[in-house]
Amino acid sequence: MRLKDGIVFNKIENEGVLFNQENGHFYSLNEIASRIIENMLSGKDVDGIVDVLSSEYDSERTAIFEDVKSYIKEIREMGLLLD
Amino acid sequence: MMQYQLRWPANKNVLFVIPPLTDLYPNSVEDARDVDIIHPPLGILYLSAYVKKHGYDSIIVDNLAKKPMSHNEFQSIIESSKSNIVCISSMSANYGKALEYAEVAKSNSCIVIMGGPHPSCNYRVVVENPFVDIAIIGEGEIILHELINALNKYEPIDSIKGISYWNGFTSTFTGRSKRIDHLDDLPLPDYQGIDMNPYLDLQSLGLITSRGCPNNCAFCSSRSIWGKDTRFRTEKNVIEELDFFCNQYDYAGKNLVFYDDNLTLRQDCLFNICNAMIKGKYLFNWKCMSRVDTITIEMLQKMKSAGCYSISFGVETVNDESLKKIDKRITIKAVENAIKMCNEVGITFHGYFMIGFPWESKQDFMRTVDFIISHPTIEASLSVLAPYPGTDFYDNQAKWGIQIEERWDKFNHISSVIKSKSYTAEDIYSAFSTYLFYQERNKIK
Repeated sequence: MRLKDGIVFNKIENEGVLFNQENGHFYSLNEIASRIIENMLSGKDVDGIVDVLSSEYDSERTAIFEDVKSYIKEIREMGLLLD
Repeated sequence: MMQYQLRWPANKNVLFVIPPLTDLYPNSVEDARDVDIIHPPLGILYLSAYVKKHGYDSIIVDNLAKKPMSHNEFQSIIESSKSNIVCISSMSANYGKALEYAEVAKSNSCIVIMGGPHPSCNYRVVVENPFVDIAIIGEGEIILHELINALNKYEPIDSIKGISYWNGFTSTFTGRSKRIDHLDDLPLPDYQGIDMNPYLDLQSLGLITSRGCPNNCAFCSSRSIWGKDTRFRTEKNVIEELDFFCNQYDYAGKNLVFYDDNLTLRQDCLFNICNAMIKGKYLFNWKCMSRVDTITIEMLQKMKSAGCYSISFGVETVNDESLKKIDKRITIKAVENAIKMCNEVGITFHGYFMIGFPWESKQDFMRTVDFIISHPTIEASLSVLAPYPGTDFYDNQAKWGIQIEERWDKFNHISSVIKSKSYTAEDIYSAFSTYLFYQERNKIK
């Protein structure tokens, strides 16, 4: 699971952003989305991302799992993911 | 000797095609977030008016401000108009789209002529394409007229200056054509040849009062297209066009753009136009392009009194060394001074900034972004260097130590098309996304 070529992640003032160099679209990410992308870029799969977020946030693992799954589905539908 | 056959010999229609802007905007105005870039296609409108003046009929397929015409629709237009000659205008960014229309035209046995910035600067490659018969290089009016005259009479085209064509093994370039000395000799653009309603809705009418720029910036191809000598229309001729806008479209008081490379190049011409606008009570809200080294406070005051609300300046980079290298012939001190003068007079300073010069680093890009953020009164547009054919960067890649990736769809000013040792593509996009980040948060106008 990785970002498509031409999709660039950047952190500005601690906020995550994605920039699509193919069409110029720019996306601002909230804190959770930003952490999901960061962990994905470091090579983690969904379970790995959930592990990290579960250790960082005081939420049920199942709720975090749903959030991660849902966000990945969203960016996949937006065409930002390679697979 | 080149010989072309005409499918409908008795017909004198010339079909002009303007492809959609770029792949970024496949549906043109519907997709373009910045409608500022959608304006009547003046180049083709001038050509159309010129050939009409000389006895030809013209049909213009304008894909800029409307949903682009499908290939089938385009084919039907060719059939119904019985046009032998199809002229396609192309920039680098929409060259792929231009070729799609060329293919349709060729499959209908038309003679395909391509002109505009991309063929003007890259004609060798353009005419190698099997769907393009002839490329027009530079200012097109006289060349196109001579060319269609020759084609309609089955005369050889070899002696016509300003064209290139492929003759089976090699491309021939016939040499530079003479430029039009007196721009007043040109008829007004053929506004009635297109549906102006989308442009009127956008209030995106504009005009050009001069052609050519005496400067030679390394990233700009203007000189290759228009030549180094600037030619000017008289104020009387300019006012005639403004009169037309007001009388034909009830356009008085609306937004207007002057598309000259530098409207303030000659103070006498500028003052004549401003005075004529003031005298004639043309209450347009207008903007234009200029250079920071060709304005004075008196000029700005005169422009303001004639309705100017914004001037775009090419700042490019905030690194004085880089400005020297690209032969911009300005300094950041001059930029600061121009910002101050614009603020004093109450005209918006709009700066064009660029990142991606081959020797610059991510830090340099960020300095440019920081400059924009730290000048809250200015408006700014940031783009990534796109060294088009005809620029010194493109023509002398070894000198600049660069390799240009010739993917024309990526010449969109947000993609990096050169390989540099000083930065990576990620550095470019990181700086660019920082700019977008602050723009989204309204810290950049």
